[in-house]
Amino acid sequence: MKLPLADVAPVIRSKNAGPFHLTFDIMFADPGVFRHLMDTGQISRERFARSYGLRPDDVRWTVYEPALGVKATIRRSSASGDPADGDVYGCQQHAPLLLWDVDLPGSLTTAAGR
Amino acid sequence: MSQTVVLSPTGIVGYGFPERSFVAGLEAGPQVIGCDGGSTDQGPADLGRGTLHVSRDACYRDLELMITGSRRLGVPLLVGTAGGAGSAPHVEAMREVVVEIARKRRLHFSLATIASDVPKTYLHDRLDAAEVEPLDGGGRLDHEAVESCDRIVGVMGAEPYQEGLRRGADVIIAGRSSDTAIFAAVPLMNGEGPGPAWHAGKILECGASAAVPMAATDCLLAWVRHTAFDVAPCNPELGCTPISVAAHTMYENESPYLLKEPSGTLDTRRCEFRSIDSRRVEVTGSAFAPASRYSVKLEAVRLIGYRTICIGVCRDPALIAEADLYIERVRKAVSDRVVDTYGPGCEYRLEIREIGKNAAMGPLEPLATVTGHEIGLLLSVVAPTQQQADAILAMARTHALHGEVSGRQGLLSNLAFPFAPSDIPGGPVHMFALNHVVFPGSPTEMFPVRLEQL
Repeated sequence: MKLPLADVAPVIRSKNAGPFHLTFDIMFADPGVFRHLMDTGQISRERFARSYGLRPDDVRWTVYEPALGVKATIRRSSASGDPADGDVYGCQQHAPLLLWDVDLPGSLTTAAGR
Repeated sequence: MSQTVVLSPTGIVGYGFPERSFVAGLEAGPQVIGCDGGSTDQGPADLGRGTLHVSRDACYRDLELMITGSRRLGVPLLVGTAGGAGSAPHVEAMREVVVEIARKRRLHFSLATIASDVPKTYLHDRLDAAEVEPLDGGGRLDHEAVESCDRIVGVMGAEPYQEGLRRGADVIIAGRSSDTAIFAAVPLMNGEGPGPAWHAGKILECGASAAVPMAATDCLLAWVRHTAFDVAPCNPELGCTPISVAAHTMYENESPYLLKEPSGTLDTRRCEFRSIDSRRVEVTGSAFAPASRYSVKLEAVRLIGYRTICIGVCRDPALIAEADLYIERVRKAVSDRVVDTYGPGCEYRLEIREIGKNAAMGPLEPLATVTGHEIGLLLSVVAPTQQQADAILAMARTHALHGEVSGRQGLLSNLAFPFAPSDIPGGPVHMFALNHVVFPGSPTEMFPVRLEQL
């Protein structure tokens, strides 16, 4: 069953990691959903890079099992608060992730809160 | 079993917290109360201007409860990154609040202030001694770059706090600090495990943000031991879960596994998070690897000019359809008028953001088309003086108001201004300037501790 990522991941956020980097977190509530999406490659560094017009090498990617989450960190194109910067806290950069289509087997959609 | 109980009343001094939660926290018998005062999150302005991140009145309210609580229990209160950015004017502003509270409540105690400002002469010397290194994307530092900074602070570790405590401080108002160091200082002095001490600090630094429901403006307790620590919120309506605590380990860091501190790296790769009861979580396996060289991260700002802004809203679909072209014409017209007025060589920056299109994400925005029925134009000018910023913004506003639109005739006025006057002077503009670490001769030499008896 195809669903937007926002419906299966309760935490999708971006934030500054210091003035020169942005960090993105995606976290799941259900271990089965998390494992399925990771194992099937639906949550990946490559997909993240594509969403932001970056190369995979530009993305530091960490899978963090204890929080059932992944973290992506990228360099800011301009430092927080520069005249060219439009988001001082870096907290509104996650929106493209909300719309990722993910495919879950029916047995997991209930666990994902559907 | 030895343990140190640490109480974190709220995410940032002045964000507020329920008094009932704090009283419950005090009943748990903490050996230290700690609170963070800010970060670089709010951008470069507070560091540049010396302004407070949270209002003085809100800080007063929070500090009054924290100080009276700390004095009643006879345990130290540690406040880091005072005033939001931790430079000299921030520390002094918070010191004055503490002095006022002590007078009002007739409290007598020993107050330490710890400065974190880095004199340029010190940094020049460290540069000559090759004791400065860039962080990711920082580039090589030279003397000229140091000179161009208007304010520089170093991010202190736990040692300056420990020095203040050894010298008898009851309350410490410190400059720029690692958030975690505020909370790790006392457990480390008491001989608790460095892994649990630093990891507990990471969880405590945002108040009860690691609880469910998330509450940055509520109190969190940690019990730090040799090989583990527990955390639980003070408010009975909140609870910590293994996932909520693990999730906070991830927050605002480049990596959830390796968290850099001045004296080493917290390694959470082998951590296990386990529920003790419905509200309390135990964390085991936190490790701390001491660094081969002690490093202090630098934060600095540089004044780049003065800003004036204006916001106008466009409701005409013809202009919305050709907004990019329209904005290009405004830029060109402003550029010509600046030359007419100031001659060639006047350096200014005009930013025109389309709210409703790409104002939040700029170059990272994947959507190209505007789907709304109105867009906001946010005009911002940064120029060498406030007078020039006002003048150039006024030019931009005039051209943005009266520009041509395909298919429309007559003298057009294309923007709805929500205010009169439409133009808002924004004052000095600073940019973050350094992304480097310095290797000091000792963990405390950059952070002088000053004691006074209140």
